[in-house]
Amino acid sequence: MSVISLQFVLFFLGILIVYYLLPQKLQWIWLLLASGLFYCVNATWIQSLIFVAYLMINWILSQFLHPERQHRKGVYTGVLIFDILVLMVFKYSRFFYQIFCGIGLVFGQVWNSEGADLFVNQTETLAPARISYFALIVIGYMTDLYWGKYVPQKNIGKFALFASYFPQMTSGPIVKYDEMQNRLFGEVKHEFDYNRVIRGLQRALWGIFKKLVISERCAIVVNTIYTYYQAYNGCYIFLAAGLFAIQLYTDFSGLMDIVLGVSEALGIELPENFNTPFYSVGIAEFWRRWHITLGGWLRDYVFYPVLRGKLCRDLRKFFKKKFGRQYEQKFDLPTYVGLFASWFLIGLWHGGGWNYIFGVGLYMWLMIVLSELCQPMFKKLNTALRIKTECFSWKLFQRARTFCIFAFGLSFFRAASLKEGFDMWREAFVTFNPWIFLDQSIFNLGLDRREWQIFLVGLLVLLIVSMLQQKAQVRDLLVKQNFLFRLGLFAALFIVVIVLGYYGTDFNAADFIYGRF
Amino acid sequence: MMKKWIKFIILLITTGIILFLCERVLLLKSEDGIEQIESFYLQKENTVDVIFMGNSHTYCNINTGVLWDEYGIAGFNLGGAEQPYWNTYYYMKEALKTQKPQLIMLEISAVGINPTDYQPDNWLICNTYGMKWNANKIAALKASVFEDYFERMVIPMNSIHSRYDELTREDFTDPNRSITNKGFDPREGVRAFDRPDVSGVTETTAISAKSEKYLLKIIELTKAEGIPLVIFTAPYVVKEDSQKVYNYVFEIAKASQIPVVDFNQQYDEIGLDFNVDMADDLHLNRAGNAKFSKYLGHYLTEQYGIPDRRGMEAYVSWDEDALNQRQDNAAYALRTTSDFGEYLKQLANEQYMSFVFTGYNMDDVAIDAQIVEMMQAAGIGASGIMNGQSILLGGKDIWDYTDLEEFEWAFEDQKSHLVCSREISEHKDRLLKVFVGDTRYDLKNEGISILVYDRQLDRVVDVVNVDTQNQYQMTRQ
Repeated sequence: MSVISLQFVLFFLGILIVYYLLPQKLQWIWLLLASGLFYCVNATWIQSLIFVAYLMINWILSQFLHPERQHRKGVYTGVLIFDILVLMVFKYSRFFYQIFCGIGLVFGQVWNSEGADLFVNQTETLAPARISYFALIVIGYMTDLYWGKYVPQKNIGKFALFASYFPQMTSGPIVKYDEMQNRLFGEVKHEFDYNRVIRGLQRALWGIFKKLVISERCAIVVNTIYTYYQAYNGCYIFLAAGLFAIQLYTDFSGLMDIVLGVSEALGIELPENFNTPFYSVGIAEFWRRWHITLGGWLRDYVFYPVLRGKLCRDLRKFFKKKFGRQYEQKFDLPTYVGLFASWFLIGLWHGGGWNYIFGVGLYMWLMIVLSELCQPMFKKLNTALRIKTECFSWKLFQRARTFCIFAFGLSFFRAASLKEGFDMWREAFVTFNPWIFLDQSIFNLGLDRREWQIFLVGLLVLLIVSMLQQKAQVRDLLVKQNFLFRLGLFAALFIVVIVLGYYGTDFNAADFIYGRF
Repeated sequence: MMKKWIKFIILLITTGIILFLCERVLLLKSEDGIEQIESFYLQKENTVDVIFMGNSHTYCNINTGVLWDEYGIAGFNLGGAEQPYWNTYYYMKEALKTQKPQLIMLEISAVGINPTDYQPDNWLICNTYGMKWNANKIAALKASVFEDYFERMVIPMNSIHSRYDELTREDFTDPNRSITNKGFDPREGVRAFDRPDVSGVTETTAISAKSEKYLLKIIELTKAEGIPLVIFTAPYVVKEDSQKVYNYVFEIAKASQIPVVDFNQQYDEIGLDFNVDMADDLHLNRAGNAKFSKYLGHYLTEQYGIPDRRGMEAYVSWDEDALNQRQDNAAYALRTTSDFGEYLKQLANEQYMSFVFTGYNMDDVAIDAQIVEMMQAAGIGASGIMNGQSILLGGKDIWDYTDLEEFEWAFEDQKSHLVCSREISEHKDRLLKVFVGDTRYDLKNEGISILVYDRQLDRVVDVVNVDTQNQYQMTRQ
């Protein structure tokens, strides 16, 4: 059941109406039932069964992580091994199996077998839907329990709701227990609030606009170029890379708008996953504004623990001894090691493929480290060339630079493999054809002139809204306007979505890129 | 709180209105099924005496205008593109809600020409989207698609919203949806074919279980309603394989005591000539449908005593439909005439308003005396013949203007709003323009230009330029 479907609209309306009619004690149970139904509809019965078993095992083990319990370290280690193993088996079997076979080939051995092939295929078929999201949520919960941040949830139903709340079971956000427990099953009843429901629905509509009007148009051009990249070379590749960055942003942030809007209508606030990332002036800032909850998860559960780990502590001692206390300003290797671990995992999380590990992992890490290392040099250069850095044009340049760095890395995410990604960029630089933007060639990529116009106007609207968003919440600004103005705006957006959106029998827009993880 | 609920309700109503209006505008204004049923809903209750149902072989071949003109039969073509029997069944259920016809004629060739249990989207839309929202429409959709496709098709916007880049004025005004439209949609052109002969085909080929099920349901429904049903095939270039399928259907019909008529065995009686009466291998052209409809009307009157309704107040819309069909035929004849003399004669049509301009370069060119005579006979005044403008209404000159100055002439009645003008440009060029509504037609300023507007059809039926220096060759704009 895609969140952009009649089924989901009816499902959600049913949930919403009953939810507000129920007393406080039953509201969370209703949400749990809805989440269970939502999961089952989107998965096979065996996947659902595995998911339920996974939650039950984790809930049972979580009881042993109570601060007053003995052998907590051993239990936590066991939990961690179990959860990581589940993730590895269901999501990364093929990746590791391919590496294993590749190593075999290096030694002239054939290590693949029919049985192993079958196993890998089976694990992929049986992999519980959205495992990348709920596994991180559960691991984070278990880790917090081990760290003693809170006590385990005694009620298995409440634990299950926390891990499987249906809006977040689309593509996140990756939530934390301490910020969600009061919202999901607190003591106060969620009363029907007209303003909040309308605000939530407005946000969901805006998300649908991003997805159907902008993202799906990008997808047509991107798919055309990526499928036939040997034919479409030179500037086409640059165009595809830029458009894919926009496609992914409008796709993923659009989905988040729908998810957060739907949840807001239910009175449950979910953490933001995006904060106008294309306004970032550097790649590190960009990633603090893009997929925020994943970044936050890795920061809390990977980066800091690695930084506090023995390796980094030893490294720090060694560097202090060798270069003095100021070494951090020149070359902070321990931090880069921690970052490396985080970025490697970000890449791996996106999929078992070197194109992911490189494109959205190690390449981004390299860019962040390089920008850190080169910062003093850039400062000197700016001073020498008397470049003003406190003005709009400089910020614009920085934003454009950040976009290009990001889009380049992301192009590997879209490519079928790392090799294909590099092949594409080789094709990009061997041909010089800037006239494609002038001689109407771009109208042969699946979008005609009118479709391009609609896309560009849509993008302009998004840009304006994002600019307003820098100053204040657009929805807060809207609330202050007259009812008729707001109604007109809603009607306009609604018409644009239902008429100009790419959906229905000719399209398959219901799949979100991040929905597959 | 009350105020907020009111706002919420306003929001919901706005959403509903937007959806309704968008659907109305974006819906295909197709004459392959949608216009037929939409117009059917507008017919006065219990006025339709004969309903012709089936695929394009009904609504392209049975000229309701001829049936009316010749026999006073109040018929209606309620068909759809390649219409399968399940869609016919639900169209029939809808039809019988408001009409109690004396006869239903079911054309069966859909199973012989395109025997599929699931139509492509475009035909499916034509056969279901024109229906009103009710249980029959839902059931028709369910019967038409695979189960997992139903959700997509049941929301029309899913299929029609991408039409936004092909919208025209007609999509907003929807001019065809009217009580005077009796579902007829003729095919044009002439193609010659060998006359088929399937008289020796006696074998049968079974139809699909789904088709048979709905054929039996149609038979049951008409019996339950007490309405006589006739199963027939309209004439076309029938193939042997198809005839075997029709034989099977005829057998089913006969077993249920339903009369059958195979018009593919009656070419001589109809008077069909396959060299001149076919538009394509499946449909008759204007000449062919006139012959067939005349023959069919005779059959209906003789066999079923269908009454003559001409002159009756409740049936005025059939008068209008017949006039429309006559004018449509006349317009076709006008458009396909290449002889200028013949063309001039046709301008005498009562419904025509003709704008005749002779170009400014005519000062030195003499029009043949014979042509001048013909133009005069057609009612064109002296100015229209030489270096001026003439406007004719039904073959009579109603306005003449010889000066070379600018002018503006306007005409308005209940249906039409026309403005004719000449402007002199900076370069002394004379620009001749005719506005029909807000559609502008620029006429050539050379030779003789004629624009013909049909007041009955409310549209320009032809715009032609006659080259006076090249044997009065006619070029259409």
